[in-house]
Amino acid sequence: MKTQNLFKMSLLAAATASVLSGCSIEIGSDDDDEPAPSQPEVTELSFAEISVPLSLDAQQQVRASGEVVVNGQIQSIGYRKIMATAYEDQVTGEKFGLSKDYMDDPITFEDGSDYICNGTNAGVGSGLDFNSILQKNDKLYMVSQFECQAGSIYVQELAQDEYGHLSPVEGTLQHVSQKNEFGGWVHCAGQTTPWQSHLGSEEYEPSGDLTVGDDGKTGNFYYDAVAPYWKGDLTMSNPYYYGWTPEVEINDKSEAEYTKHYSMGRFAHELAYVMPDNRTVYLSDDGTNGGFYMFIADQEKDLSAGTLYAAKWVQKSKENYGTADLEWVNLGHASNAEIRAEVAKKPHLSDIFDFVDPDENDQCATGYTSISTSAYHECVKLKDINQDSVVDAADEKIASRLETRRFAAYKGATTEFRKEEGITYNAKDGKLYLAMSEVSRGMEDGSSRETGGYNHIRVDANACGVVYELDVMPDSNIGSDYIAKNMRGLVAGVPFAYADGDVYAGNSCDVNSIASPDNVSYLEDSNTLIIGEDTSKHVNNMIWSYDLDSGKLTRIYTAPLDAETTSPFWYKDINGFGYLTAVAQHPEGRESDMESEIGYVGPFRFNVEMDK
Amino acid sequence: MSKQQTFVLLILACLAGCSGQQSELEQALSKQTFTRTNVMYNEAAYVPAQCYTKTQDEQGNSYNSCYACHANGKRPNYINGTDLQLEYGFTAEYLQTNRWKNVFRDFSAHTQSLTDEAILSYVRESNYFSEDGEIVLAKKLKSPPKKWDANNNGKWDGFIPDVMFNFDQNGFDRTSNGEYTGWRVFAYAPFPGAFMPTNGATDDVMIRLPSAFQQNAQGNFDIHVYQLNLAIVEALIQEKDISIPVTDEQKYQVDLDKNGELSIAQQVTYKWAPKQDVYMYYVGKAGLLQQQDKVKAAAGLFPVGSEFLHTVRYLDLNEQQQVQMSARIKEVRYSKKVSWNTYAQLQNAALSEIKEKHDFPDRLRTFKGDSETGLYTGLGWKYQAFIEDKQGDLRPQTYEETVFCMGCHSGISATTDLNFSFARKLNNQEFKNGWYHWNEKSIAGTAEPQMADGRPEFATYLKNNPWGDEFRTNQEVYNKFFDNKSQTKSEMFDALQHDLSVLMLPSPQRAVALNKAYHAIVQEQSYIWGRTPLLAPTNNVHQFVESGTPTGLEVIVK
Repeated sequence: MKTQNLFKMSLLAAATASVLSGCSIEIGSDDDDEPAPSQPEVTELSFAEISVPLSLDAQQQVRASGEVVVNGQIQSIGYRKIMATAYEDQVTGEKFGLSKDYMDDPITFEDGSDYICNGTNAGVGSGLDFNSILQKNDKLYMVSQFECQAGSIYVQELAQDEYGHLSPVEGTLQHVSQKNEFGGWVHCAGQTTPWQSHLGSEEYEPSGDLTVGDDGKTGNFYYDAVAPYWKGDLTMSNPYYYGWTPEVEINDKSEAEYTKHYSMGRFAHELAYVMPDNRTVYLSDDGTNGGFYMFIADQEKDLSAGTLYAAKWVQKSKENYGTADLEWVNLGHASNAEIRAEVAKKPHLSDIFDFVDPDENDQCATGYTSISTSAYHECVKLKDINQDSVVDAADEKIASRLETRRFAAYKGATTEFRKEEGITYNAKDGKLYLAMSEVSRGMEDGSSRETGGYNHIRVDANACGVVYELDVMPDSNIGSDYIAKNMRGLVAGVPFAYADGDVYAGNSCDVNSIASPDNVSYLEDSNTLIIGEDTSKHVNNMIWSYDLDSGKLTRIYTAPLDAETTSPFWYKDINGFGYLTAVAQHPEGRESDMESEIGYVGPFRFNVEMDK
Repeated sequence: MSKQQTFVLLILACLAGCSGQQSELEQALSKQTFTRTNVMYNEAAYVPAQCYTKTQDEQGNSYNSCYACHANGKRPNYINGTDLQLEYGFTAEYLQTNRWKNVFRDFSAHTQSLTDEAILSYVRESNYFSEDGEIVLAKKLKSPPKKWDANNNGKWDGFIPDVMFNFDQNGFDRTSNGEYTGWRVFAYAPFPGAFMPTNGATDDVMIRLPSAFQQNAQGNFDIHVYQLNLAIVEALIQEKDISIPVTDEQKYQVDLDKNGELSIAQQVTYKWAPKQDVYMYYVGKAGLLQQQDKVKAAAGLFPVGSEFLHTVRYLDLNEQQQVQMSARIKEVRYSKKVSWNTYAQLQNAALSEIKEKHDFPDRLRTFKGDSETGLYTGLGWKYQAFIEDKQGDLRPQTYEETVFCMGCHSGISATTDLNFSFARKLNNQEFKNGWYHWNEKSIAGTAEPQMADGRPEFATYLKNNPWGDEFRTNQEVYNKFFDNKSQTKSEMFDALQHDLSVLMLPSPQRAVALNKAYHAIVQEQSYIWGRTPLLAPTNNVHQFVESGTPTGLEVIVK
């Protein structure tokens, strides 16, 4: 086993972690526009296990398995940067990450600084969150999204040389205007869809009860930061403009076409994950007391209209952090156009639901439904939103998309999940994997933060988190071959109190298992599930390789103290080369210049025959 | 576990813990290191004891001392803590427990054992200079003790104290040879609460700008250039015009008073609006670098490389029994700006903090760095300090003791580029434009400052917190400003308007008692349990408070 203290290795591991976030699978669809599918074959990836860093010196370094063996062959790979935030294209004049306003004018602050979505030079803050690489028009395009209010999206052509190395093509960096859909918001994780588009996510949706006061602000500091997008006029904005799923496609003129999918509902979108049928999409909801959603598009490769469902957890057992059947509560059909028309009316939460306070016994008055969501216990009654004098399906349609989480609870679905993160699909075995950063609050049986609602999930808390496994199979009633029918704990972190003086003291989860799982990535046609952490419960974040056959966890990477990597994504075959992309901050002990950058580990060669 | 093992463990536990409080402290102190460690006694040492104050007394009266730190920051301080005036926002369960035990402890055994003469003699002895005038710490740090050398490279890579406390008539610090050290001392309005001398300590602050700000365009040291650049920084930090000595702008090629021509200026005029192409320019070499975009200037931000030195001291008495700064130093605190962050970046950091709290409510802040190089705030500055050891000699603070600095110096709305004092510096009509040391002129006669909304700052503070300390223990202040029917003594508030010392300076008796109380903490080295000297244990602080508990207060400052 070799341990290398190289930055590139950090990305390698991170990327590895991401391996396959499900995404993978879909490259090589039957679309004529896309590259021909390669022959499926079993891929074996193996890493040497590395130890838990104990000395401060080791804790401050990137430590990763130095050897990666692919199908029995040791491969030479390295990390390469593609570009950093604030990169300026000298030809187009565009700056990577610069937010623009509703007129597509660059946003600047009072000090004249550009609103480049980037944290401080010490690495504190939000920025570049996810990049996808699209294969279209016999070219490669990288679409990048930024996690800010008025978060921007950029597209950049990439060149691929004979060795598979990727680099930006000068003169191609373009800002993707979101002005037709009210701008972008806190872009989080994403996926390259099977049809070679970029599917993003707007996380942390602002509350619909915000009102602009006499001072021109709502008082919600986080939401009010979107004001520069509206040239300072918050009355032009509305909370319902944000919290949706954006998609970017590249047309045959190399132009970016941006869509906001109002059809898929509004909540704290962490990730929208398209299944191999090009129609079924699973959607995770980050935060406390969230739902788990599924969208079935009317047509393949077109997410603009379809039916949205929310999962109902029907508990079978509390063992292993729960085993349950999943029932899918139909939240109704809607199209982007229908919902956009409602959003454009700038609604207020009070237009959608009527609220009364629960009584002293936490009961709701007659006519009101008791729900418990991220807003905790509420007594709600659906209103006549469209003001046609009846509360009917038309009102339900509006509520189902604008207030998806509340509406799901209102219809009897489960809104008790805690911090849903990554999703990935194992087509070989028909299993979907869902990371739950921690099992707590609504997931417990009667936690102090859970009054009202249904208490569907009644499992033991696990502050270290659990990765769940879901069986996926056809369901003719719903009309999809990719319906998750049940859910059970697959691999769990282990809360552990190390004694004072123990070498592992400071970790509150067993160092030999996961803590706060974040990204999960299944490597296509393998037995390997990669699990990445975003935790404060291990002193160093770790990345694990989980053997789905034996249940063995192998630690393949430890990150430097405080270092994070985000949204790694696996590309198994781009013109014969494989890549693991990842966003990273410079983890070196620098005092400044720690802007985030996008790069990749690779190129891998997974088609061994090709190499022989 | 076998019975035998249990027995052995019991014995070990007893060895460590059977003598009660002292050994509990020993256990806590045993976790102290100079490097970052996996386990700290108090993982949340950046949240000070003041945050656990009971905002209501047993009669249900409410006292708001929170607003001083927690309001809506002025850009580019984008932190908004107004909600913390309304409820205890300890979203992380860990934070609900107050680990600052010293506020609950009785130190009378130690304080009664000390005579007034003994403590005064102690505080009058310098621990900064040796008898031959050398800086003791500087000498020690030339070959630092192994345990101080956090990065274990055989030398001290952090700040080495170099201020000589030998200030000329303009406040510039000079060596015995008359050379400038770069430090310049200034007077300021103390921050309301714990830092008022009546609550335990005197202090002084010095600033130093990087060498380019001290040099003329040719790169030579030029005290006039330095003076002007300090005035420009002051104008940018306070966002107001700053008086300067009569200056020929031709010499510096900068229109300092912004009258549209290069003429004779008597002030640096604050006019800064980059979006309208209105800028402020430094002079000399820094000005040249600014034109090359290597030096930046913005309202509310110090230049990269700026340093502050802050010494915290005991309360000494002069021959007239008036309180003055002691020769002995409790703490030498140092900060340096290491990177520039634009308004956009600083807002990003503040907003991401909100999201982080939402996504990971249980997550505590962590800090890069160590005792040697300092701890990094993540917002462009690093902090480092030295504190008295048991013998009264200055030693580097441990990692955890330094974390104590971080909460107030990053994360509250009251600071200007993380600094408290310079935005509160006295200037213009004040004595020497505020460039003097308290030993040259005491705080007596200094007028009360006004808040941004025009309210008198300390009268407002006292009306919301009549004891003048967050723990409501300073009965002397209460009695000075309020009668036994809780009515204000208007003559005292009138006097305060013209003379801050009315509030700031304790009686000689209180000063001596506070010194003794702090000395008890020094003797124990129990700084991780709190360093605020209290004359008696207080009941006005929560030992535990559930997150979301309402404070019962109204918002005093938005």
